[in-house]
Parts: sequence; structure tokens; C-alpha cells
Amino acid sequence: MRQRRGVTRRRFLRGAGSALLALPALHYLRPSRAAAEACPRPRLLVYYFPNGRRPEWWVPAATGYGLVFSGQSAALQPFAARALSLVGLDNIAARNSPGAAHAMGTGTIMTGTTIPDFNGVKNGISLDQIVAQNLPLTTRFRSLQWSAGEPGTCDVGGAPCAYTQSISWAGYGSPLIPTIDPAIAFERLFNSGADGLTGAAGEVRRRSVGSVLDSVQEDARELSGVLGSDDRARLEEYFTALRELEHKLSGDATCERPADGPSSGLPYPDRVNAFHQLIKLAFQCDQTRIISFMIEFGLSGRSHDFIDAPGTHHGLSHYTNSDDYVRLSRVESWHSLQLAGMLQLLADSPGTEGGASLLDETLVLAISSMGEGGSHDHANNCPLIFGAAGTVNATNNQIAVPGTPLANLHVSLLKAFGVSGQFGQGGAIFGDFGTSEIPGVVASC
Amino acid sequence: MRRGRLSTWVGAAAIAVGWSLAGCKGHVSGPSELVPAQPLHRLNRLEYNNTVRDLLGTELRPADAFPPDPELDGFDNMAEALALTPALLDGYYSAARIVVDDALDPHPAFAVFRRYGDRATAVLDTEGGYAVGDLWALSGGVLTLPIDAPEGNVTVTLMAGATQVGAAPAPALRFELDGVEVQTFVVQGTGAMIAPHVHQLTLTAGSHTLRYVPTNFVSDPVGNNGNDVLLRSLAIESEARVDGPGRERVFVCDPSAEADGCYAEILETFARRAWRRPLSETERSRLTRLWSNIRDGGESDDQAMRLVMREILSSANFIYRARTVRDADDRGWLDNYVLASRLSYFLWSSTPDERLLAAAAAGSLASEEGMADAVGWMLDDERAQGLIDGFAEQWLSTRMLALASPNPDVYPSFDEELRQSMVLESKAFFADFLRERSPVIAMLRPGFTYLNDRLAEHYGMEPVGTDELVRVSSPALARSGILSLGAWLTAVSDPNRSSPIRRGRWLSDKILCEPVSPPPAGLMIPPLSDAEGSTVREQLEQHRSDPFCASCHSHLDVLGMGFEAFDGIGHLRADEGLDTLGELPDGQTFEGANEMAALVDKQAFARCVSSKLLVYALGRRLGDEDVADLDAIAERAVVENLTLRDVIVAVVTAPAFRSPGRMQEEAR
Repeated sequence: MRQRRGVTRRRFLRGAGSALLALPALHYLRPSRAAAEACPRPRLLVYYFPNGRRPEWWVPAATGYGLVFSGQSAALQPFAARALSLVGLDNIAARNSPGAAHAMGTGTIMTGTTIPDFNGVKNGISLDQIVAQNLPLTTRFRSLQWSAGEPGTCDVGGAPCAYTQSISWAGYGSPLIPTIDPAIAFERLFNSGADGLTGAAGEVRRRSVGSVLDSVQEDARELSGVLGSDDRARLEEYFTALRELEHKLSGDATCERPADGPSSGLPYPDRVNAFHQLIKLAFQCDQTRIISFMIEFGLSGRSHDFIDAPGTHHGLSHYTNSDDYVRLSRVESWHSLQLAGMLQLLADSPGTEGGASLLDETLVLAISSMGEGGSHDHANNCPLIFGAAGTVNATNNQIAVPGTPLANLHVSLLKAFGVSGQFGQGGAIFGDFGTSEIPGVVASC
Repeated sequence: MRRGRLSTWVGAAAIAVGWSLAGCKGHVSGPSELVPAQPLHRLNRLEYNNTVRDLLGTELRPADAFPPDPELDGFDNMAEALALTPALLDGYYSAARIVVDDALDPHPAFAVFRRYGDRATAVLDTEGGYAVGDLWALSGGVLTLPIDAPEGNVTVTLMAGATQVGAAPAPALRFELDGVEVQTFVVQGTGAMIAPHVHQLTLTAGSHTLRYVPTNFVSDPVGNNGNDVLLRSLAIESEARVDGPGRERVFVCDPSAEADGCYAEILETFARRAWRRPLSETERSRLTRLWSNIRDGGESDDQAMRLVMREILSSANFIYRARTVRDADDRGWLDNYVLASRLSYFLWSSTPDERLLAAAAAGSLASEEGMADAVGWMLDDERAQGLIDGFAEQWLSTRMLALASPNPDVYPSFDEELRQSMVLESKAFFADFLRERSPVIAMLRPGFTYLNDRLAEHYGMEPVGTDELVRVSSPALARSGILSLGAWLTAVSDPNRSSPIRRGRWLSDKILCEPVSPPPAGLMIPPLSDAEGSTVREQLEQHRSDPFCASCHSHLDVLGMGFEAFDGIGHLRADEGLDTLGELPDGQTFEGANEMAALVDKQAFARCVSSKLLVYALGRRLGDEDVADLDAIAERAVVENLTLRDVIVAVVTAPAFRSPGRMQEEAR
């Protein structure tokens, strides 16, 4: 993807000085916080891998010289100084949920909510969405969900596909299924609400679109009046989505639209790369502060022929011979390489909020559906955190706390994002088992 | 509250007190209102694509890029699971503009489009070459495309990229028209960034041949030198234009005569079709007012119309099929327009057409005869393909087959042609029952099958002499019926071998409708292997030794064992000593698809087919109140030898379909 360097509103404002404070689109700007808050509040990128990660390849060794990654994760070594490795976190919610290990692992990894059964879609709100909903809306999109994957087979026992296809949940039973086509994601980011028209014609169109949306809202309100109560509740999803659409279409794009976006129908590795570029762009152009990205969906059956690792990824994760073991090793190495590519993009982009780079201003949580995939080990999940200088102790650290609920990490992250409150069930702060933060994760500031 | 014209479609007040309906449980009469428990039903991707096709004539399939629809109980049209996200509404909104423009903008009078990600097309148009993802590496071969064009100017666009390694030159192509060079050019772009290569030509009417000839192809792996051309597509478009495919159906009057009145009529007609019912007076005037406001704001008449069409296609009235609190008549039948939508999304995965809306307007859907009549002509319509694409694809797991990846080391004979043939086999099998008069229970052993030469060879049957699928009918067929369809046998296999467990699960879910509970938490499942030491049966028995597992696996595993004669791609294994003894839940034993077909309880099978159809038709899970309906249909299916069409009629005339179904009480 070729990109023209975007001009962010923030950079624009810095150059133009305070005379521009009367700009109509100012409500998108975050309230001045330099004075109000001591701790920086980073952006959040959740980077998800399916089918588990083998700890011996994924978890760095903590040595006197800092974190040392194995050969399969060597690509991450340059980021050791900005990494925090967590070891031995227990996804109790997944273990307590009925079977279907991949649905339960993927579905609960960010929600920490036990799935009671497969009758209907029953999952709680995810960490990224709590953060999205509790911070003031200062960007065009509250959050974005993307995946380079393709919908595949869903898990056993009639597990609803939403569990393998979304890690972000807006609320109880509301999966946010990711956008899978980078061309569509690009359009969504840069479609300005004036159908691409500029000047006077653009102004006319923007008003027309405003009238269209008002009318659409009237339709929905009238419909709501003749619905039963369940359906009225359901229609709330529509009103919420409509508000976001209005919000999006009424604002100027804060960035110049790059000349070329990704095309539809890209092959998988190019799609991964295209989404990396879009993630960087979305942060750089202040389109959103929260993104979850699934490199593939849970239980992914993708065959990685392009790195000489044929066979379904899921099948390989249950390898029974050395050929498949080697192939799995190639897949996990390639995944680490992709994550490193994403980190490099962020590290190479100057920060827009005073940080040295976007990576310093972004908390990247790299997490898989489970620990070791062959045995569906939910009890030893080992996420890596990168970036977010000054917010978390991602400074060549490892915290090994076997048996600690994974949801405690989410409790820590809530604190890192400055969100206080109780969001869990049964007295928990987060999910079903998140009762306290993991010491040492959040930086004191 | 709606008034006026609305009364024609909401029927008489149906806010029943003391509602009495079969299947309406637990109601206590009193000063309360019954409201439908059936959730709002959002259009899924297939339904959206088919709907805009039928409304506007567009061939675009914009919903393919929407986020995937979650699946529940094996179907992706379940109302409960079809949530709406901001990204999805954004998708609907953007798609509305795209399909309206496509329908109304002039199209080229003559156009050819060849996509070389499609292997079959690439093989046809080039000599040599090989597939790289969705590109085709030309590898020195010549791309030749004969066309039959009208007279006039055309634009030829080759989408391609170049690869170049070592000292080899950048690849160049000579573009020829009828053997005469037009231009020799260096290929631009790369595999990751495909570039357009555009030429303008003036053609005489008649046959022409376009050729692209590589002029400097190098393949020298020893010297690490090489170049190649990666093709994505070739498009030819005439300068001459014709009206868009939706123009005639949208422009029901000529706005040049009397603009305001005509645009109002156009918009009302379009909204009635899109919203699948007549408009209320409020709605009609809102749309008309919107059009004049937008136009007065500076848009052209035509653009204002398109923007209102965008409103109509972004409206909750379009995106959702809604049951309202007042859409049933006093006999408990749903409002005619709601029924028309239910029928069309069941049988066509698409919107009701004028004929169906006319039947609704005339009230003729409010009887069993009227419904049966509609089912008859709807299934004869080509849009009934929607039932095959929506229902059969999911029930018979052909969608799942698209994602299966048999290991090429184990199954060297498996290729895309075979995969495609298996998909067509299953679809043709189902379509046959929709069309012909075979009883539905004959699906188990119908005495016919669909084959082409590729499938015949794979199944070890007599060749049929064609690549096209043909119906082969004989009572002596070794292989016929739903249980031996290649698609599901392959789709639920593991990449390296057949899976008795997954086949058992498929059979108990899709054929017997006795789905088992999901496996317990924290399970470690070593994959089956044919390695020495223990037989597959022994491995399975070991895995059933835990009484907790055994409760389900004692059904699944032994059921699937009966199909072990089929390998992981549905090919019959020659191994004589193979253990293929299967066992049905009732204890009867069998070997192979044919023996199981003979043993399966016909009524249970008929009941299963009916329940799949009913779930799909309603877009909801079945409840206790549906059991009696299902039992009745199943019994008739066996006793009266009902055909698939008969069963569909029975489904749509069952109270669950044509009546409000489960209701709940609500004090308002």
C-alpha cells in the first residue's frame, strides 16, 4: 500500500496555534489533559493469535541481560526493551465453560466471562470495550475490530460461531465481528460523509446525508413504537450503530485520504500487512484509540502454503509427527514476524501526543486463545505487552505468576487506562475471576 | 402509531385479549398485550445480496464484504444471532449507495471480464502458467482471448504485476489485435500491487482475437535469474453505454413530464418493494418531503431521488423483518405481508416480488390453499436457487467443504475440480427433490445420483462421458443417497484421515437430529492416527473409557465407524480388513452408507428433515410447542410419501410459521 503522509488534526493544530480553536470539529479533540492528569493514557491494540502459542517458542527467557526470545520469536528480540512478558495466567472462565476449547478460549480471552451453555450467545463485555465505553469519545470511532482471517468452521457442540470470530464484545451477547476486507476498512476510515465530493458540492452532500440519516432515525423510532419489548431492546443496537454512523459521517476526516487504499481480494499475507498499515494509519490519524485485530479467527484452519507449512493451522497445533511439528514451528515463527512488523510500524511512526513514537503511546497486548494448543491449555496463557511507555512496566520485564486468573491482568489494564469501577460478576472487578491487579504491571506515575 | 393506509396491511386489531392459539402457551387473559417473542430478523449476507439483485437488477454482491453472520444451530439466518454492529450498519449504508448507482448509471453496452484468480478461466485463456494465490503467473505462456464484439471503441484493461529476480530484464508483453501488434510494453506493478495496463481500440463488428505475448521471459533458476507476469484480470468495455439494469424498474413514470409527482411515485413504489409492504401516509409524506428538501438544498432531482433510495435501503424497515404487536388477524394468522416476507426469505432468500405482494394485497395468503399455491409457483421460479444456496448448502455442509483442506501428501487426487464437483453433486441432489416427485424419505436411497466423469472416477463408478453433472438413475447403483454424498464425507474429515467422531456427530445432527452435548471443559483430545500400536476402534474405545465421555461418544463414535469404508475425501477404501462396523443409537449394526440407509427409522429421518426446514424457515430454535407440529409432518411424510415440496407446504402452513408462534405477555 502506497501512502501519502497524512496530516493529523493534532499536528495541524500545533502548527496553526490557538487561533484555530473555533474550528467546528473541535469536539473531536480530547480535553486538554496535560494539566489534569499525570499518567499518560495510551491507545490500545489487542493483537490476537488463534490455536494457542507454544510457550517454549513464545515466552522469552528472563535472564540477567533481560528478555531473550527463542528462535521462533527472534523477530521480537528488538522489542525486548519495550516488552512485558506475563507467564502462567489461568483463563478460568474458559476452563469452566462447556467444551469447545477454541470457542471458549477465543470467546473469553478478553471477557473473562464463563459461558454457561450454547443456547444462544452468552458472553460478557470485553476489556477493550469497557475502556472504549468509559473514556470520553475523542475520535471518530469508539473502537475498530479487524481480522485478516476468513470465516471458517466453528467449534464443536454447536458453539455459536461468534465465540471463535470475535474477541471484542460490546456487552452481554453482543459480539463485534471484525471487518475482514481491508478495502472496506479503508473506505470506512476515509469515507468523509460527502461521498468523496469536495468544495460546495461536498457541503451540499453533507447536508443531504444529514437529512437522510435524520429520516432513517424517524423510521426506526416509528418502528420501535409497534414492537414488543424484546424487539425494542434489539433495536437499540440499530440506534447505537446509527449514532456512530452519524458521528462518523458528520466529521471531517482528520487525515488526508491516502491516494491508494488496499484493494479487495488481497492474498492472506498481504491482507495482514494491509491491516497493519491501516492500524498505524487509524492511530496516526486519530480515527480511534482502540483496535482489536485477529490475525485469523479462532480454530483457524488456514493452510500456510506460502511459508511451506501446508495443512490446517489447527491440525498442526495438534501435531503427531515431526513434519507437522516443523510446520507448526514455521507458522508460529511467521506469526511472531507479523507481530514484529506491526510493532516496527508503530515504532517508526512519530508519536502524536508527545511520545517519541506511536508505540510509546500505544499499549499492544499480544495474546492467544490459549497457551499450548495441542492440549488446549487454558491454564498457562502467556501474553506479551509492548509499548505504552510510562503506563505499564513494559521495560524488559517478566512477571511469572502461575495460577493467577487471566482476568487479573484485565483488572490491571483497566487501571492502566484510568478506568475505575466494578464491571465483573459476583463481586469481581472484571469478568468472573478478576478480583485484583497483578502487582508490577502498571507503572507508578 | 401508524394510521391511514396502514390498516390495509396490519389487518384488524389483533391485540388479542384471551388469545387462543395452538402453540401459544401460558397465556392468561387480562388487560395485557401479547407481543411476539420472535426477535427482529436482520437480513443476512445471502439475503441482502439476493434482495438488492431482485430490487434493482444489480449483479453486485456487496454483502460479501460485510462481517460474517454468526451461525446458530447450523444456520446463519437465526434471528437471535443476527446482531447489528456499527461496522455492519456502515456496510449497509455504503452498499446502498453502490447498488443504487450501479442500478441507475449507464453500463457499457459490451463488456467482457476475465478473472485469473479463477483457475478454470486462467487455464482456458493461457498456455502454461500456474496459480499464485489469486493471481496467475504467465511464465512465458501467451494470453489469448477471442471476443465477439459490436462495432465501436473499447477500453482494454489488463490488471497485472511484474516479478523480476537477478539480472533478468523487467518482463514485457506484446499486445496484439488479430495478429497485429498494438504495442509492446513493460509490465508495471508487482504481485502485491497490481497495476492497470490500458489500451484503447476501435473494433469492427464481429470476431476478434486479443493476445498478450511475453517477449523477454527468463527462467534460469541455476543463475538465479528470472522474470514473470502475474495476471489478475482482463476487462474489455465499450465506450457505448446502455441504461443501468435497474433503470426501467425504478422509473415507473417519466419525470420529465411532471417531476414532483413522478418522483413521489417512484419513491413510494421503491419503498413499498424494499420494505415489503405498503407505506403508511406518514412514511409516504416523509419520503416525499425528504426528496424535496434535499433537492431544495442544491441536489439535482435525480441525485435527490438516489439519496432517498439510500435512506430506504438504510432504514430499519429494510434491514429488519419485523413482527409488530399488531400484525396477526383474529384467527391468529399473521398479516399477509409478513407472511409474504417469511415465504420469500424461506424459499428464495430474497424479497417478495410483485406477484407475491399482490397475493398479500388480495389476502390470498391467509389460507392453507393460498400458501400451498404460492409455494408451488415460488419453487418453480429460478429464485428458488436461494433455498439451495441458503438451506441445502448449510444442511449438506457444502459451505464447509469449501474450507476443508485435505492433505495433498495423503490425498494427491484431491483438487479444486473434485471439490467443485462434490459441491454441485450435493446441490443437484437436493434440487432434484425440489423439482421431482420423489418422496422425501427416498433421500436415503433414491436410486439415482448425479455424476460427472471426475466424480465417477473418484467414486469408482462407470464414466458418464461428460464434465457436466448428469442424473444417473438405476436401482442397482452402488452409491446413491444423502449418506454417500462426497461433500459432507470430505468436509467433516480431518486433513489426514477420515474422522469417525466427526462423521458420527454429523450423522446424529443432520440425519437423526439427535445432537449431542458439547465436550466438557479442559479436554485433551489426541487426534486419531493410523500409526501402529492400536486400531482406530481401540483408540476410540479408550477415549470412551471415561464414563463422562462415553455418554456421548458411545453414540457418535460407533455411528461414524460405519462409514470408515470412505476415506477422508469420500473415496472407497480397498482395504479388505478394514473395521467398518457401525451402530445406530438403537443398537442396530451396519456397515456402510447403504446398510445404514436401510436401517434408519424413516419417520425419524423425515422428522429431522422437517425440523431442519422449520428451523431455517422460522430463523429460530424450536420450542416445546413446535413438537406436535413436527411429529404430524413426519408421520404424514412416511404414511403419505410426502415429497420435499409437500413437506415445505406442511412447514409453511404449520402454526409455527403462519401464526405468531410463541407469544409473551407484556403489560403496556
